[in-house]
Amino acid sequence: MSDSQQDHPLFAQQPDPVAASPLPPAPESAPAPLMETPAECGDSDAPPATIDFTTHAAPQTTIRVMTSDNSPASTDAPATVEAQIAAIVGAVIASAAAYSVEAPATPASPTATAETDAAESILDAPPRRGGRLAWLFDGDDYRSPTDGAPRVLVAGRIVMGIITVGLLALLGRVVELQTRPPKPIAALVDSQTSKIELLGRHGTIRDRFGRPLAIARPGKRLFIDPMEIDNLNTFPNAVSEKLGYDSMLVSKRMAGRMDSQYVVLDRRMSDDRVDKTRDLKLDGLGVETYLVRDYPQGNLAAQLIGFVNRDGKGLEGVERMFDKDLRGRPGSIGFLRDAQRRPLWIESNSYRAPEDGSSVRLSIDLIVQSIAETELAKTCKEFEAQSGEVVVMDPATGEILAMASYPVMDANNYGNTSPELRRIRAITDTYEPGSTFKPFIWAPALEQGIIRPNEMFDCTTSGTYQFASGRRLRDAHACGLLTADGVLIKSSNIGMGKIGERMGKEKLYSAIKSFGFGDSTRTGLPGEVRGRVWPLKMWSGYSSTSVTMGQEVTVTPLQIARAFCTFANGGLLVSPTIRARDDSPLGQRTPVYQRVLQTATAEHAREVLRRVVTEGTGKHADSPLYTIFGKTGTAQVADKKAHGYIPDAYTSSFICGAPMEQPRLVIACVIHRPNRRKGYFGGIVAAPAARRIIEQSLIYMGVQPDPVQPKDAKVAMRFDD
Amino acid sequence: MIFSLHPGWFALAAALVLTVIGIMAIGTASAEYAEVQLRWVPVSLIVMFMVMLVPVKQIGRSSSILLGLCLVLLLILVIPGMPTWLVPPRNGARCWINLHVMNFQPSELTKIAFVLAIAWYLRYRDNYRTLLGMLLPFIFMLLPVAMILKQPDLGMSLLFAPALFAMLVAAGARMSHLSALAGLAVMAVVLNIAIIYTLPNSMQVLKPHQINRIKSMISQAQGDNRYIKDIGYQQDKAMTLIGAGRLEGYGTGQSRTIIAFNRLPESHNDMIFPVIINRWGFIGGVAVIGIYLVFALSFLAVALRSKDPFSKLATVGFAALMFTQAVINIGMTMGLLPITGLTLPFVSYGGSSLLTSYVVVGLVMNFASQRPAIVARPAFEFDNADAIFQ
Repeated sequence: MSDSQQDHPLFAQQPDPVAASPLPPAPESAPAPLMETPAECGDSDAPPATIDFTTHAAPQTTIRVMTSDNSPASTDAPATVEAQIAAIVGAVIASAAAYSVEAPATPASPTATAETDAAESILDAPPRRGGRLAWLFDGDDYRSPTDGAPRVLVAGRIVMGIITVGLLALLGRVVELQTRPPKPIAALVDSQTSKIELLGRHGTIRDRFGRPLAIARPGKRLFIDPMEIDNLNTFPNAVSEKLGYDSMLVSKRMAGRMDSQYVVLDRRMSDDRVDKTRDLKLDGLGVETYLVRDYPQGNLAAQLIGFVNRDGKGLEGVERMFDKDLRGRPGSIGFLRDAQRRPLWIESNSYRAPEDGSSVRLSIDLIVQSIAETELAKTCKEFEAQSGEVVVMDPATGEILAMASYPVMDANNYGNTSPELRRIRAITDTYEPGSTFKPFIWAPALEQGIIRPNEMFDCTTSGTYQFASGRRLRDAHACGLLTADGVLIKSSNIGMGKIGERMGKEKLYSAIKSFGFGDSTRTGLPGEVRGRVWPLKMWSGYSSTSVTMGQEVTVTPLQIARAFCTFANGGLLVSPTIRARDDSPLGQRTPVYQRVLQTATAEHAREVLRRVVTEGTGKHADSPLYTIFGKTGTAQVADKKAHGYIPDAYTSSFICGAPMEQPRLVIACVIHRPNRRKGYFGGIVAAPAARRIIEQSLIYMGVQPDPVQPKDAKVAMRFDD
Repeated sequence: MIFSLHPGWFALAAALVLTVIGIMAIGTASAEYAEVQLRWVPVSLIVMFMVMLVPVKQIGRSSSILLGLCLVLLLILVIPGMPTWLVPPRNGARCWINLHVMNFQPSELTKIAFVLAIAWYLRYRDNYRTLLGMLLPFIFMLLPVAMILKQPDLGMSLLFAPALFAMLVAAGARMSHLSALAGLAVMAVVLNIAIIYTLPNSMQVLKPHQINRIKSMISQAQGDNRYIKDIGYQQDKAMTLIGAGRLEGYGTGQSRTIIAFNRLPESHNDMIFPVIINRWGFIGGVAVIGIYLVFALSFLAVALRSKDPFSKLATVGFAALMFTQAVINIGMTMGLLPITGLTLPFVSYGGSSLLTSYVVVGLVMNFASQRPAIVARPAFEFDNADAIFQ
């Protein structure tokens, strides 16, 4: 037995096909030892045949399987059966590996596959020639004389390989469908198990009495799914005919996006179009509900409120300032849908409720805002002005009641507006205040005892005066001898220059800074600028006379309105706010005050400013209803490129408050570059507008009109202008 | 002897597991069919046991007679003018003979008889080592295939060629001949698709609905969902169910609702695989395909052990048959193959299909449990082949 095993070709050295190829073994050499074994071939006592899965080039993958073919004793041994199955599975892997290694090496010499087992052939025929693919199924090296079926083995290997690869391919397809499904299937899969983001509704922006300025409402969006369209040629015409959209627009939108399933045709559908689309039942059209931001007041306070982009992010104005509060937090919901895309159920634990944004109540009074905008527009049109701003403030609380800009913009169509129109110009644009700046020099001078109310100032009868610095100033009208009060009332440049000279640079500078000029008002509105007050070291010899009449400094309308509040509220610089005080977070419910003037000084200044209206430059602002105090200003427009001033370009402004006893409103009305021929003095252009705003606002606010002076009795009934 | 340990038991175990999975899946798709299917299980097992008892030699000897009988039954289906009480047309196909206790599908029996007869025919022959000799069984195969195509039952007719091919490989037909034949088959498929796309309707070989299925599958693979609403509807729904299946599936309750609202036609029958994926997820897919692998490999192990050439060939043929059927069925649910209306063995609803599958298992169990002859004539060794060939 052991002898025969020794001679058994399986236990012989594996022939190396590469080494063997140059020297094909002679047919006689191999059969020689084999000739001894045929006697045992059919013998039932033959040793258990050893089938070797060893392949030509991969001896390390050898798997030896003990088959129980001729051994009845082992038929019932479970271990053998299991081993067999394991071997088969292993063989699949081994053979697959072996084939890939072998493939290039073995077919090199087909005749080299030695025919070693000719002896087992029943017909004892001469050794056959190997085919081209002999390596694949011959298995000559391991053929045993006692083994009846190596061919089944080889064939089995191939079939097993095919089966395994085939089934693995199917699994691969399952993976593919689940992870990277084809587009249309993906859409269906998505629609079947989908997670949808639930939009948190934007908070509402309201005015101080709760009137809505910006709301979120569900809107309808019309979109086209080109994949669903039955007839592409007639589709645009059908849409334009039934729904009234331009067929060219429809074609243009769809062009180049035929593989998209979502081409938006109309972002804000009107309700009747929604109904018509539903009735039309045209394949390829879809209506989608989403949240739109609406500005129900139209253009009113448009710049101030600002707008949001398509994703709901606040881009300008209050929308941007309170973006965090206003924007809701999106929630999500995962649910299943049926074939018709109807939701079936919500996946457990997948619902996160969206949080609506909180609403914001502004300090703006919509009616006052409306009055301010109307009067501003009227004035700007009347005087053909380039632009204008009005700020209305409550001097006691610092709340901004109105902030108007002209020209206006359309908040519901912000995409078509120029960036210049979108600014809140009352805080983003600065101008040289001119004479309206004088009270802010004059009052501290009085406060500090530098001047006394009845001190006389020679403002020259010629109207011109040359200062020690060499600066020559002119008054619009020669004033002669004036009291300190008179300097302000008549708005004498020479008188103010003398006061400024007497104060000196340091005191001038600290006076200006104490009113908050050159600093941000800290409303928090986007784009707010600080204005320009030159630092002391940059002041020239002319500066101390220039700033007294509002040159060399630039301010925003809000800054000057806020500074003017000090005269109205007894000398306190108040922190302005755009949010209603009682809606603000705790720290901002009460305004921050800074005492700038003594109450007595502020009240005296108020009386003097009242006289500006009754007997000075602001006569056009004198109202029969309310006692208005204010200051006019007519400034030349500084040329930003060249040094100096643009000829015939003026900023006409009027800042005022009313009523005298208990001031409720402070208004800054600034008109930029009115047509010179129509009028350009602040007292002519801006004062009447400010008066009308004050009158209407105070009447609306229910403020008792002041006792009518006898001389004004006749005009007391004039409500119209 | 019957109960001796052999790889056939793996096949039977795999078959039983698949049957249980199948009944659960059918219950998920449509509960009332699960009960009917459950009643078929004992019937199938009894028939399988009976098949196991028949001596192998007798099976072999009667195989040609059985095939002849099957051909007669197929002829009954094909002959025009058969009364509808005997041949009830279903979905436009005449595949069933009404036996009143059940609807009998002769093509199911034919595929078994065919494999047995071919195995019996090839067992001690060597003329298939020549090209002509190898083509003979293929030419003979065309007879049942043509009749089954006429029913029409494209899926079933597709099973014959792979089974015969595998048997010829196992028997040792020349690889060059076989590869040439395989190449021809591929060319035929390509030619057919070319015909579908180029020739006018009057010159088509396939039936219009078959053409549409192929067209729809190809266009769907190209991302065109024009056919989703009509021809490709079923495949599309099936792929949606599979794609939505996730890793672990949805469980019976949810999956039942998804399938009900997905409206996949024949979800309990030909389209059971998407149901499995939806119910048990990718894990279920791995399990089912793994069990098929065990099933097919244990068949091959039986073939490996067997000394009787008839048993060997028949077992290889059956392995190819079952494997091909499973792959075609699963492939068509995933848009890899056109829809052909072929059941998933052991899993799909249908008594006829289940019975046939268990008969196959019974036959293989029978072969596996045979004690090998003490002196067996070696078969399929053709070292003298050159002499024959030349």
